[in-house]
Amino acid sequence: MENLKFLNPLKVNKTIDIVYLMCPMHIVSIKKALKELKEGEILEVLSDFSHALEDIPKWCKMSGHEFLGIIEGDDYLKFYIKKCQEEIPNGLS
Amino acid sequence: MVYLDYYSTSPLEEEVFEAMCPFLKERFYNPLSKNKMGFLIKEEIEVARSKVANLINANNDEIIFTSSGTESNNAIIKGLSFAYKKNGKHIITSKSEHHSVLNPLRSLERIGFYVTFLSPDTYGEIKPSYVESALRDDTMLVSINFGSVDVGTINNIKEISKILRSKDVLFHIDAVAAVGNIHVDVKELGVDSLSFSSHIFGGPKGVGGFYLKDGLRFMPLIYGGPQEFGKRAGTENVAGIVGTGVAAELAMINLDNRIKKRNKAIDEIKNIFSFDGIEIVGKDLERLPGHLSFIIDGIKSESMIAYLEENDIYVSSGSPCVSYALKASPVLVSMGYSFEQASSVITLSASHKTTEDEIEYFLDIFGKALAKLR
Repeated sequence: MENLKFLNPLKVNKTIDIVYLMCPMHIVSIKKALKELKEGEILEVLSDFSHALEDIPKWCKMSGHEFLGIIEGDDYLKFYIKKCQEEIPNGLS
Repeated sequence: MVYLDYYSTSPLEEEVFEAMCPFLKERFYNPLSKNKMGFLIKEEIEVARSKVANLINANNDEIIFTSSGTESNNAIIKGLSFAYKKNGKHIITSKSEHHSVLNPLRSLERIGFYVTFLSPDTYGEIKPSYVESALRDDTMLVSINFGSVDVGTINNIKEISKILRSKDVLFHIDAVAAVGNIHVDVKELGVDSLSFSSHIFGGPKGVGGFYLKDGLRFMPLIYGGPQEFGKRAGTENVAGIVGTGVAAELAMINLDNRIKKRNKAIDEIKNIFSFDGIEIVGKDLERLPGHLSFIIDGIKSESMIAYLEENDIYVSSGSPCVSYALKASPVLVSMGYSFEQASSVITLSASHKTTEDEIEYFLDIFGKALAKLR
């Protein structure tokens, strides 16, 4: 989990709330949401799924998107992803 | 045979059966498979989802398929209660709900939630004012039926919704009897969630579903794979879902015509009120299409049902889940009827296919039953 870093609030282009949803929805939902964004735009993901801490940065690395970091919410985490390019096929899903 | 219990279940429409068949045999593929066959099956599920969404004016991704209306009510009541427990632990419902609403709420009481069970008025209606009076600072959810199959009376969902919007309380409706049988528009009603069941409107058994308004949190009852947007895991009942889509499409196209035919059939059946000692239960007009409920003075439901059965006529004495367990309808008791009256209720429901000959035969046998059983 060396990619994790805490952020200050930042401007986001889209938010998805997947609190209470589990694997594989933390990746499936992100893939779907990123398709609706343009390159350079930022996706905010609200999730309380513990494996998301490891999986989301890992998936970003594999699929070519930039994982910006996290902000702690009340009882969930906010993950920030910058869409960098069209998704690399066969990324973790 | 004369079947007059269509709110318990309805037969498959022929088009539904035809549409389902390929998915029970040659088109057996898993919609989750990462190959062309899986993809094509997944597309069929999405077509069905859009047809159900159209029927109730929802967005496609607001429709989640389940195994039944019962699972849908359980999933929503528990899923919203767990997800929004920080808003409070008080829930309001009514005594005229189906057991798939009452029992999950009772289970929530065991783990710290508080539930208020409202009594309906003498017509079986849960008045909006009753809901408003029961609201507390910690009320987080209200669950009321669109129309009860025991009584038939339709509740004023729009008005209840208006009250709850202003208080920021979630609103679920059990619309199992309503969807596919009467106009249901989730946007117009202003509800947060709704349950439906396919076999009540000409679809197959084993498929139900719920509408969950976009943006709401929900803790799934069943976790697993990504099926149904991760909100109800498990390999889909493809044939059943495809059949449900066709049933929803047929219901939407033919709804007005079906309602007219069903109500005409019930108007004919209302000739029974010319006999002495028969009293309608619930409202006369604002009720589910093709539905009639009445009390027969001096004759127990089970005796009337048995007599009619001997003559190949099939009716009900209320919710099928209830009538096996108890001799009197608890819904009628909650409306203020005596135990004896609640033990003498008959519920009829006609379909758009009920014929004049069937009604004539029913009226004839019913008259004979009264003469014999009294």
